[in-house]
Amino acid sequence: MTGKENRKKLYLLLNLTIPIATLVVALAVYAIVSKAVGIELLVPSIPNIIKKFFLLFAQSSFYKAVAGTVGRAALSYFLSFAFAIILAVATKMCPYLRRALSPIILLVRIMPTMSIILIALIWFNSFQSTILVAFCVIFPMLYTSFCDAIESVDKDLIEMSKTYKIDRKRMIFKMYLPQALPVAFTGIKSSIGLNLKLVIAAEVLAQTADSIGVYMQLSKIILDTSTLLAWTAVAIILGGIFELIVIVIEKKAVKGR
Amino acid sequence: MKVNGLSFSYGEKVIFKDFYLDAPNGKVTCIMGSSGGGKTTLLNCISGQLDFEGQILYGQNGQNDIKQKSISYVFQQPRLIPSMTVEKNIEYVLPSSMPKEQRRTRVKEFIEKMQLSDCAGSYPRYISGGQASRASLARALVFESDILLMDEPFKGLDIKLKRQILETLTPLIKGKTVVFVTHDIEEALLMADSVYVLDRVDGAGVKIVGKEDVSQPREDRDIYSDQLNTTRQNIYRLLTDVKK
Repeated sequence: MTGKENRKKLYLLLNLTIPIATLVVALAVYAIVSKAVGIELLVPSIPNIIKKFFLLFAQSSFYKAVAGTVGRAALSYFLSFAFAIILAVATKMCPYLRRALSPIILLVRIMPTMSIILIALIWFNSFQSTILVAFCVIFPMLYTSFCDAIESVDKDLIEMSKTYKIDRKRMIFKMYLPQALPVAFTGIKSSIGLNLKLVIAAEVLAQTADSIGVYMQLSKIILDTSTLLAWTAVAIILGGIFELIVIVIEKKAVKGR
Repeated sequence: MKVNGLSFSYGEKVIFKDFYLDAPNGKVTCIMGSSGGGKTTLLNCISGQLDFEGQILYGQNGQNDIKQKSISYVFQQPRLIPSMTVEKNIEYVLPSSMPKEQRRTRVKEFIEKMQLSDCAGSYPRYISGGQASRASLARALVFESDILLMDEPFKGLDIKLKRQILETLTPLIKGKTVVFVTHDIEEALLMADSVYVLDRVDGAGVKIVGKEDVSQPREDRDIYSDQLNTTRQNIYRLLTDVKK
Protein backbone atom coordinates (compact mmCIF):
# COMPACT_ATOMS: atom_id res chain seq x y z
CA MET A 1 0.00 0.00 0.00
CA THR A 2 1.40 3.43 -0.96
CA GLY A 3 1.87 6.33 1.43
CA LYS A 4 -0.82 8.27 -0.43
CA GLU A 5 -3.38 5.47 0.09
CA ASN A 6 -2.42 5.24 3.77
CA ARG A 7 -2.93 8.98 4.21
CA LYS A 8 -6.31 8.75 2.45
CA LYS A 9 -7.40 5.91 4.77
CA LEU A 10 -6.24 7.84 7.84
CA TYR A 11 -8.09 10.92 6.62
CA LEU A 12 -11.34 8.94 6.13
CA LEU A 13 -10.93 7.28 9.55
CA LEU A 14 -10.39 10.63 11.27
CA ASN A 15 -13.34 12.13 9.40
CA LEU A 16 -15.56 9.41 10.83
CA THR A 17 -14.10 9.00 14.31
CA ILE A 18 -13.76 12.66 15.32
CA PRO A 19 -17.51 13.51 15.07
CA ILE A 20 -18.42 10.21 16.80
CA ALA A 21 -15.95 10.97 19.59
CA THR A 22 -17.46 14.46 20.01
CA LEU A 23 -20.95 12.92 20.26
CA VAL A 24 -19.77 10.34 22.81
CA VAL A 25 -18.15 13.07 24.93
CA ALA A 26 -21.35 15.20 24.79
CA LEU A 27 -23.49 12.22 25.83
CA ALA A 28 -21.02 11.37 28.61
CA VAL A 29 -21.18 14.96 29.92
CA TYR A 30 -25.02 14.76 29.83
CA ALA A 31 -24.97 11.41 31.67
CA ILE A 32 -22.67 12.86 34.37
CA VAL A 33 -24.91 15.93 34.80
CA SER A 34 -28.03 13.72 34.93
CA LYS A 35 -26.42 11.50 37.57
CA ALA A 36 -25.20 14.52 39.58
CA VAL A 37 -28.62 16.24 39.55
CA GLY A 38 -30.36 12.95 40.27
CA ILE A 39 -33.87 14.27 39.48
CA GLU A 40 -35.45 12.39 36.57
CA LEU A 41 -37.99 15.22 36.10
CA LEU A 42 -35.28 17.81 35.44
CA VAL A 43 -32.48 15.94 33.69
CA PRO A 44 -33.73 12.46 32.76
CA SER A 45 -31.22 9.66 32.31
CA ILE A 46 -30.18 8.55 28.83
CA PRO A 47 -31.61 5.00 29.23
CA ASN A 48 -34.97 6.51 30.21
CA ILE A 49 -34.98 8.83 27.16
CA ILE A 50 -34.12 5.87 24.89
CA LYS A 51 -36.95 3.85 26.50
CA LYS A 52 -39.43 6.71 25.91
CA PHE A 53 -38.12 7.16 22.40
CA PHE A 54 -38.93 3.56 21.47
CA LEU A 55 -42.26 3.72 23.31
CA LEU A 56 -43.29 6.50 20.93
CA PHE A 57 -43.15 4.07 18.02
CA ALA A 58 -45.81 1.90 19.64
CA GLN A 59 -48.39 4.72 19.52
CA SER A 60 -50.41 5.39 16.37
CA SER A 61 -50.53 9.10 17.32
CA PHE A 62 -46.74 9.21 16.86
CA TYR A 63 -47.01 8.37 13.16
CA LYS A 64 -49.84 10.86 12.67
CA ALA A 65 -47.79 13.57 14.39
CA VAL A 66 -44.65 12.82 12.36
CA ALA A 67 -46.64 12.66 9.11
CA GLY A 68 -48.41 15.93 9.97
CA THR A 69 -45.19 17.80 10.79
CA VAL A 70 -43.30 16.39 7.82
CA GLY A 71 -46.23 17.25 5.54
CA ARG A 72 -46.42 20.83 6.80
CA ALA A 73 -42.62 21.21 6.61
CA ALA A 74 -42.64 19.85 3.05
CA LEU A 75 -45.52 22.11 2.00
CA SER A 76 -44.01 25.26 3.51
CA TYR A 77 -40.61 24.44 2.01
CA PHE A 78 -42.13 23.70 -1.39
CA LEU A 79 -43.98 27.04 -1.37
CA SER A 80 -40.87 28.96 -0.27
CA PHE A 81 -38.78 27.14 -2.89
CA ALA A 82 -41.27 27.69 -5.72
CA PHE A 83 -41.78 31.41 -4.96
CA ALA A 84 -38.04 31.94 -4.46
CA ILE A 85 -37.08 30.31 -7.75
CA ILE A 86 -39.82 32.06 -9.76
CA LEU A 87 -38.93 35.46 -8.31
CA ALA A 88 -35.15 34.86 -8.65
CA VAL A 89 -35.58 34.05 -12.36
CA ALA A 90 -37.89 37.07 -12.75
CA THR A 91 -35.25 39.21 -10.98
CA LYS A 92 -32.61 38.03 -13.46
CA MET A 93 -34.87 39.12 -16.32
CA CYS A 94 -35.86 42.39 -14.64
CA PRO A 95 -33.09 43.54 -12.26
CA TYR A 96 -35.30 46.32 -10.82
CA LEU A 97 -37.45 43.61 -9.21
CA ARG A 98 -34.66 42.91 -6.72
CA ARG A 99 -34.74 46.56 -5.67
CA ALA A 100 -38.54 46.46 -5.48
CA LEU A 101 -38.53 43.35 -3.32
CA SER A 102 -35.59 44.38 -1.13
CA PRO A 103 -37.62 46.27 1.54
CA ILE A 104 -40.03 43.36 1.97
CA ILE A 105 -37.22 40.81 2.07
CA LEU A 106 -35.30 42.95 4.59
CA LEU A 107 -38.39 43.50 6.74
CA VAL A 108 -39.28 39.82 6.89
CA ARG A 109 -35.64 38.87 7.51
CA ILE A 110 -35.12 41.17 10.49
CA MET A 111 -38.63 40.75 11.96
CA PRO A 112 -38.48 38.58 15.11
CA THR A 113 -39.76 35.07 14.32
CA MET A 114 -41.89 35.16 17.45
CA SER A 115 -43.69 38.28 16.17
CA ILE A 116 -44.44 36.52 12.90
CA ILE A 117 -45.80 33.51 14.78
CA LEU A 118 -48.00 35.63 17.08
CA ILE A 119 -49.33 37.82 14.26
CA ALA A 120 -50.00 34.75 12.11
CA LEU A 121 -51.89 33.14 14.99
CA ILE A 122 -54.18 36.16 15.23
CA TRP A 123 -54.89 36.31 11.51
CA PHE A 124 -54.94 32.66 10.47
CA ASN A 125 -55.82 29.18 11.71
CA SER A 126 -53.13 26.92 13.22
CA PHE A 127 -52.39 25.04 9.98
CA GLN A 128 -52.05 28.23 7.89
CA SER A 129 -50.00 29.91 10.63
CA THR A 130 -47.46 27.08 10.70
CA ILE A 131 -47.00 27.23 6.93
CA LEU A 132 -46.84 31.04 6.89
CA VAL A 133 -44.26 31.29 9.67
CA ALA A 134 -41.88 28.89 7.96
CA PHE A 135 -42.52 30.59 4.61
CA CYS A 136 -41.78 34.07 5.98
CA VAL A 137 -38.35 32.97 7.24
CA ILE A 138 -37.34 30.47 4.57
CA PHE A 139 -38.51 32.33 1.44
CA PRO A 140 -36.16 35.35 1.88
CA MET A 141 -33.24 33.01 2.57
CA LEU A 142 -33.91 30.93 -0.54
CA TYR A 143 -34.69 33.96 -2.73
CA THR A 144 -31.38 35.64 -1.80
CA SER A 145 -29.53 32.39 -2.29
CA PHE A 146 -31.11 31.72 -5.72
CA CYS A 147 -30.44 35.30 -6.88
CA ASP A 148 -26.78 34.88 -5.84
CA ALA A 149 -26.70 31.50 -7.58
CA ILE A 150 -27.92 32.98 -10.86
CA GLU A 151 -25.47 35.87 -10.50
CA SER A 152 -22.63 33.42 -9.89
CA VAL A 153 -22.87 32.02 -13.43
CA ASP A 154 -19.70 32.99 -15.27
CA LYS A 155 -20.52 35.80 -17.73
CA ASP A 156 -17.69 34.63 -20.01
CA LEU A 157 -19.41 31.26 -20.39
CA ILE A 158 -22.71 32.96 -21.22
CA GLU A 159 -20.94 34.97 -23.93
CA MET A 160 -19.20 31.85 -25.20
CA SER A 161 -22.55 30.03 -25.45
CA LYS A 162 -24.14 32.97 -27.27
CA THR A 163 -21.23 33.14 -29.74
CA TYR A 164 -21.76 29.47 -30.60
CA LYS A 165 -25.53 30.09 -30.79
CA ILE A 166 -26.32 27.39 -28.21
CA ASP A 167 -30.07 26.94 -27.79
CA ARG A 168 -31.69 28.17 -24.60
CA LYS A 169 -32.63 24.70 -23.29
CA ARG A 170 -29.08 23.40 -23.57
CA MET A 171 -27.68 26.58 -22.04
CA ILE A 172 -29.97 26.22 -19.02
CA PHE A 173 -29.34 22.53 -18.41
CA LYS A 174 -25.67 22.26 -19.38
CA MET A 175 -24.30 25.65 -18.40
CA TYR A 176 -26.54 27.70 -16.06
CA LEU A 177 -27.78 24.94 -13.73
CA PRO A 178 -24.47 23.15 -13.09
CA GLN A 179 -22.85 26.48 -12.20
CA ALA A 180 -25.69 27.90 -10.16
CA LEU A 181 -26.50 24.71 -8.25
CA PRO A 182 -23.51 24.68 -5.85
CA VAL A 183 -24.39 28.21 -4.67
CA ALA A 184 -28.11 27.38 -4.50
CA PHE A 185 -27.38 24.23 -2.49
CA THR A 186 -25.57 26.28 0.16
CA GLY A 187 -28.85 28.11 0.78
CA ILE A 188 -30.93 24.93 0.57
CA LYS A 189 -28.71 23.08 3.07
CA SER A 190 -28.81 25.89 5.61
CA SER A 191 -32.58 26.37 5.28
CA ILE A 192 -33.94 22.80 5.16
CA GLY A 193 -33.20 22.04 8.83
CA LEU A 194 -34.26 25.51 9.92
CA ASN A 195 -37.59 25.03 8.12
CA LEU A 196 -38.40 21.98 10.24
CA LYS A 197 -37.40 23.81 13.43
CA LEU A 198 -39.69 26.72 12.53
CA VAL A 199 -42.63 24.46 11.71
CA ILE A 200 -42.27 22.69 15.07
CA ALA A 201 -41.93 26.02 16.91
CA ALA A 202 -45.07 27.32 15.22
CA GLU A 203 -46.89 24.05 16.02
CA VAL A 204 -46.02 24.48 19.71
CA LEU A 205 -47.55 27.95 19.83
CA ALA A 206 -50.43 27.27 17.45
CA GLN A 207 -51.35 23.98 19.14
CA THR A 208 -51.62 22.36 15.73
CA ALA A 209 -53.38 18.98 15.86
CA ASP A 210 -51.35 15.88 14.90
CA SER A 211 -47.99 17.53 15.18
CA ILE A 212 -44.65 16.96 16.89
CA GLY A 213 -44.92 20.47 18.35
CA VAL A 214 -48.19 19.81 20.15
CA TYR A 215 -46.85 16.60 21.71
CA MET A 216 -43.73 18.45 22.83
CA GLN A 217 -45.94 21.10 24.45
CA LEU A 218 -48.05 18.37 26.07
CA SER A 219 -44.94 16.67 27.50
CA LYS A 220 -43.82 20.00 28.91
CA ILE A 221 -47.22 20.67 30.54
CA ILE A 222 -47.26 17.28 32.28
CA LEU A 223 -43.55 17.64 33.14
CA ASP A 224 -42.61 14.51 31.22
CA THR A 225 -39.10 15.72 30.35
CA SER A 226 -37.89 12.34 29.07
CA THR A 227 -40.74 12.20 26.51
CA LEU A 228 -40.02 15.83 25.55
CA LEU A 229 -36.39 14.86 24.91
CA ALA A 230 -37.54 11.73 23.02
CA TRP A 231 -39.66 13.97 20.74
CA THR A 232 -36.64 16.26 20.38
CA ALA A 233 -34.60 13.25 19.26
CA VAL A 234 -37.32 12.48 16.67
CA ALA A 235 -37.12 16.07 15.39
CA ILE A 236 -33.30 15.87 15.22
CA ILE A 237 -33.49 12.59 13.27
CA LEU A 238 -36.06 14.06 10.85
CA GLY A 239 -33.89 17.16 10.35
CA GLY A 240 -30.90 14.89 9.75
CA ILE A 241 -32.85 12.88 7.15
CA PHE A 242 -33.85 16.10 5.34
CA GLU A 243 -30.23 17.28 5.26
CA LEU A 244 -29.03 13.86 4.12
CA ILE A 245 -31.53 13.87 1.24
CA VAL A 246 -30.26 17.32 0.20
CA ILE A 247 -26.61 16.16 0.38
CA VAL A 248 -27.40 13.08 -1.77
CA ILE A 249 -29.22 15.22 -4.35
CA GLU A 250 -26.35 17.73 -4.32
CA LYS A 251 -23.77 14.98 -4.91
CA LYS A 252 -25.75 13.74 -7.89
CA ALA A 253 -26.46 17.19 -9.30
CA VAL A 254 -23.13 18.96 -8.84
CA LYS A 255 -20.34 17.60 -11.02
CA GLY A 256 -16.73 18.49 -11.70
CA ARG A 257 -15.96 20.11 -8.34
CA MET B 1 -15.23 40.23 -44.44
CA LYS B 2 -15.28 43.99 -44.20
CA VAL B 3 -15.23 46.16 -41.11
CA ASN B 4 -16.86 49.43 -42.21
CA GLY B 5 -16.74 52.51 -40.05
CA LEU B 6 -16.63 50.64 -36.75
CA SER B 7 -17.03 52.86 -33.68
CA PHE B 8 -16.98 51.57 -30.13
CA SER B 9 -16.23 53.08 -26.74
CA TYR B 10 -15.99 51.77 -23.18
CA GLY B 11 -17.71 54.69 -21.48
CA GLU B 12 -15.52 57.72 -22.18
CA LYS B 13 -12.65 55.59 -23.51
CA VAL B 14 -12.74 55.56 -27.31
CA ILE B 15 -11.54 52.21 -28.67
CA PHE B 16 -12.65 52.45 -32.30
CA LYS B 17 -13.62 55.56 -34.19
CA ASP B 18 -14.61 55.06 -37.82
CA PHE B 19 -12.33 52.04 -38.20
CA TYR B 20 -12.00 50.09 -41.46
CA LEU B 21 -10.40 46.68 -42.06
CA ASP B 22 -10.55 44.04 -44.77
CA ALA B 23 -10.24 40.36 -43.86
CA PRO B 24 -10.64 38.50 -47.17
CA ASN B 25 -12.97 35.51 -47.14
CA GLY B 26 -11.17 32.19 -47.02
CA LYS B 27 -7.94 33.84 -45.86
CA VAL B 28 -6.13 34.09 -42.53
CA THR B 29 -5.82 37.63 -41.23
CA CYS B 30 -3.55 38.21 -38.27
CA ILE B 31 -3.93 41.16 -35.91
CA MET B 32 -0.92 42.31 -33.91
CA GLY B 33 -0.20 45.33 -31.76
CA SER B 34 0.53 46.47 -28.25
CA SER B 35 -1.42 45.20 -25.25
CA GLY B 36 -4.63 47.12 -24.64
CA GLY B 37 -4.61 48.16 -28.28
CA GLY B 38 -8.17 47.01 -29.05
CA LYS B 39 -7.36 43.65 -30.67
CA THR B 40 -9.63 41.57 -28.42
CA THR B 41 -12.32 44.27 -28.62
CA LEU B 42 -12.23 43.96 -32.41
CA LEU B 43 -12.78 40.19 -32.18
CA ASN B 44 -15.58 40.74 -29.65
CA CYS B 45 -17.27 43.17 -32.06
CA ILE B 46 -16.96 40.68 -34.92
CA SER B 47 -18.36 37.86 -32.73
CA GLY B 48 -21.36 40.02 -31.80
CA GLN B 49 -20.56 40.16 -28.09
CA LEU B 50 -20.38 43.95 -28.16
CA ASP B 51 -22.83 46.45 -29.53
CA PHE B 52 -21.07 48.85 -31.86
CA GLU B 53 -21.77 51.50 -34.47
CA GLY B 54 -20.91 50.80 -38.09
CA GLN B 55 -21.06 47.58 -40.05
CA ILE B 56 -19.23 44.30 -40.23
CA LEU B 57 -20.15 42.65 -43.50
CA TYR B 58 -19.54 39.18 -44.85
CA GLY B 59 -20.13 37.48 -48.20
CA GLN B 60 -18.83 37.52 -51.72
CA ASN B 61 -19.92 41.08 -52.28
CA GLY B 62 -19.79 41.93 -48.61
CA GLN B 63 -23.55 42.35 -48.48
CA ASN B 64 -24.46 40.12 -45.53
CA ASP B 65 -24.49 41.21 -41.92
CA ILE B 66 -21.98 39.24 -39.87
CA LYS B 67 -24.68 38.46 -37.28
CA GLN B 68 -26.26 35.97 -39.71
CA LYS B 69 -23.04 33.98 -39.97
CA SER B 70 -21.86 31.16 -37.77
CA ILE B 71 -18.73 32.06 -35.85
CA SER B 72 -16.40 29.97 -33.76
CA TYR B 73 -14.15 31.73 -31.30
CA VAL B 74 -11.02 30.64 -29.45
CA PHE B 75 -11.12 33.06 -26.52
CA GLN B 76 -8.03 34.35 -24.73
CA GLN B 77 -9.12 32.37 -21.67
CA PRO B 78 -10.28 28.83 -22.57
CA ARG B 79 -13.81 29.39 -21.15
CA LEU B 80 -14.47 25.70 -20.49
CA ILE B 81 -17.57 24.78 -18.50
CA PRO B 82 -16.26 23.45 -15.15
CA SER B 83 -19.04 20.87 -14.70
CA MET B 84 -18.30 19.14 -18.01
CA THR B 85 -15.43 16.91 -19.02
CA VAL B 86 -13.13 18.09 -21.82
CA GLU B 87 -14.98 15.77 -24.22
CA LYS B 88 -18.39 17.16 -23.22
CA ASN B 89 -17.09 20.73 -23.48
CA ILE B 90 -16.10 20.09 -27.07
CA GLU B 91 -19.43 18.38 -27.82
CA TYR B 92 -21.38 21.25 -26.22
CA VAL B 93 -21.15 23.45 -29.32
CA LEU B 94 -22.42 20.83 -31.78
CA PRO B 95 -26.00 21.37 -32.90
CA SER B 96 -28.65 19.32 -31.05
CA SER B 97 -29.97 18.11 -34.40
CA MET B 98 -26.74 16.21 -35.16
CA PRO B 99 -27.12 12.41 -34.66
CA LYS B 100 -25.47 11.06 -31.52
CA GLU B 101 -23.07 8.73 -33.35
CA GLN B 102 -21.95 11.51 -35.67
CA ARG B 103 -21.37 13.82 -32.72
CA ARG B 104 -19.26 11.19 -30.98
CA THR B 105 -17.14 10.51 -34.07
CA ARG B 106 -16.60 14.21 -34.74
CA VAL B 107 -15.62 14.99 -31.15
CA LYS B 108 -13.26 11.99 -31.04
CA GLU B 109 -11.61 13.13 -34.27
CA PHE B 110 -10.81 16.56 -32.86
CA ILE B 111 -9.73 15.18 -29.50
CA GLU B 112 -7.14 13.11 -31.33
CA LYS B 113 -6.10 15.96 -33.59
CA MET B 114 -5.54 18.27 -30.64
CA GLN B 115 -3.75 15.51 -28.68
CA LEU B 116 -6.31 15.54 -25.89
CA SER B 117 -6.97 11.79 -25.59
CA ASP B 118 -5.24 11.63 -22.18
CA CYS B 119 -7.52 14.20 -20.61
CA ALA B 120 -10.76 13.78 -22.60
CA GLY B 121 -12.59 12.40 -19.54
CA SER B 122 -11.14 14.96 -17.10
CA TYR B 123 -12.85 18.03 -15.73
CA PRO B 124 -11.22 21.40 -16.62
CA ARG B 125 -9.90 22.02 -13.11
CA TYR B 126 -7.75 18.90 -13.38
CA ILE B 127 -6.05 19.73 -16.69
CA SER B 128 -3.07 21.95 -17.50
CA GLY B 129 -3.29 25.41 -19.08
CA GLY B 130 -1.94 24.04 -22.35
CA GLN B 131 -4.55 21.26 -22.42
CA ALA B 132 -7.29 23.79 -21.70
CA SER B 133 -6.09 25.97 -24.61
CA ARG B 134 -6.16 22.96 -26.94
CA ALA B 135 -9.62 21.98 -25.70
CA SER B 136 -10.82 25.50 -26.51
CA LEU B 137 -9.23 25.20 -29.95
CA ALA B 138 -10.83 21.78 -30.51
CA ARG B 139 -14.24 23.20 -29.53
CA ALA B 140 -13.83 26.03 -32.05
CA LEU B 141 -12.80 23.65 -34.82
CA VAL B 142 -15.45 20.99 -34.18
CA PHE B 143 -18.10 23.66 -34.73
CA GLU B 144 -18.77 24.16 -38.43
CA SER B 145 -18.49 27.90 -38.94
CA ASP B 146 -17.99 30.46 -41.67
CA ILE B 147 -15.59 32.50 -39.58
CA LEU B 148 -12.98 31.43 -37.04
CA LEU B 149 -11.79 33.99 -34.51
CA MET B 150 -8.76 33.20 -32.35
CA ASP B 151 -7.40 35.34 -29.55
CA GLU B 152 -3.86 34.21 -28.68
CA PRO B 153 -4.85 30.59 -29.26
CA PHE B 154 -1.42 29.07 -28.64
CA LYS B 155 -0.71 30.79 -25.35
CA GLY B 156 0.68 28.34 -22.80
CA LEU B 157 1.92 25.80 -25.36
CA ASP B 158 5.59 24.85 -25.58
CA ILE B 159 7.34 25.44 -28.93
CA LYS B 160 7.27 21.76 -29.97
CA LEU B 161 3.58 21.31 -29.21
CA LYS B 162 2.75 24.67 -30.78
CA ARG B 163 4.47 23.59 -34.02
CA GLN B 164 2.53 20.28 -34.00
CA ILE B 165 -0.79 22.01 -33.39
CA LEU B 166 -0.05 24.60 -36.09
CA GLU B 167 0.69 21.79 -38.56
CA THR B 168 -2.58 20.08 -37.61
CA LEU B 169 -4.42 23.35 -37.90
CA THR B 170 -3.18 24.26 -41.39
CA PRO B 171 -5.41 21.82 -43.37
CA LEU B 172 -8.34 22.36 -41.00
CA ILE B 173 -8.59 26.09 -41.62
CA LYS B 174 -8.10 25.88 -45.38
CA GLY B 175 -10.78 27.97 -47.09
CA LYS B 176 -12.03 29.38 -43.80
CA THR B 177 -12.12 33.08 -42.98
CA VAL B 178 -9.84 33.36 -39.98
CA VAL B 179 -9.03 36.41 -37.89
CA PHE B 180 -6.51 35.79 -35.17
CA VAL B 181 -4.73 37.87 -32.61
CA THR B 182 -1.21 37.11 -31.49
CA HIS B 183 1.87 38.73 -30.01
CA ASP B 184 4.12 36.09 -31.54
CA ILE B 185 5.63 37.01 -34.94
CA GLU B 186 6.50 33.36 -35.64
CA GLU B 187 2.85 32.32 -35.24
CA ALA B 188 1.83 35.16 -37.56
CA LEU B 189 4.38 34.13 -40.21
CA LEU B 190 3.32 30.48 -40.06
CA MET B 191 -0.41 31.11 -40.17
CA ALA B 192 -1.32 34.42 -41.74
CA ASP B 193 -1.99 35.53 -45.30
CA SER B 194 -1.87 39.13 -44.13
CA VAL B 195 -0.74 40.75 -40.91
CA TYR B 196 -2.20 44.02 -39.62
CA VAL B 197 -0.42 45.96 -36.91
CA LEU B 198 -2.75 48.14 -34.86
CA ASP B 199 -2.17 50.94 -32.41
CA ARG B 200 -4.56 52.88 -30.24
CA VAL B 201 -4.18 56.62 -29.83
CA ASP B 202 -6.03 58.17 -26.87
CA GLY B 203 -9.16 59.92 -28.07
CA ALA B 204 -8.70 58.89 -31.71
CA GLY B 205 -9.15 55.14 -31.20
CA VAL B 206 -7.45 52.27 -32.98
CA LYS B 207 -5.58 52.88 -36.23
CA ILE B 208 -3.86 50.49 -38.63
CA VAL B 209 -0.16 51.38 -38.57
CA GLY B 210 0.89 48.85 -41.17
CA LYS B 211 0.05 45.73 -43.14
CA GLU B 212 2.28 42.94 -44.36
CA ASP B 213 1.23 40.19 -46.76
CA VAL B 214 2.62 36.67 -46.69
CA SER B 215 2.28 35.15 -50.13
CA GLN B 216 4.01 31.76 -49.70
CA PRO B 217 1.67 28.75 -49.46
CA ARG B 218 1.09 27.95 -45.79
CA GLU B 219 2.08 24.29 -46.17
CA ASP B 220 5.59 25.09 -47.48
CA ARG B 221 6.50 28.09 -45.40
CA ASP B 222 10.01 28.34 -44.12
CA ILE B 223 9.91 31.12 -41.59
CA TYR B 224 13.70 31.47 -41.83
CA SER B 225 13.64 32.07 -45.58
CA ASP B 226 14.96 35.44 -46.81
CA GLN B 227 11.51 36.54 -47.91
CA LEU B 228 9.90 35.80 -44.54
CA ASN B 229 12.90 37.23 -42.69
CA THR B 230 12.21 40.53 -44.44
CA THR B 231 8.52 40.30 -43.50
CA ARG B 232 9.51 39.47 -39.91
CA GLN B 233 11.76 42.56 -39.76
CA ASN B 234 9.00 44.75 -41.20
CA ILE B 235 6.47 43.48 -38.65
CA TYR B 236 9.01 43.89 -35.86
CA ARG B 237 9.67 47.46 -36.93
CA LEU B 238 5.96 48.24 -37.04
CA LEU B 239 5.45 46.69 -33.59
CA THR B 240 8.38 48.49 -31.99
CA ASP B 241 7.21 51.77 -33.51
CA VAL B 242 3.84 51.12 -31.91
CA LYS B 243 5.45 50.61 -28.54
CA LYS B 244 7.30 53.96 -28.84
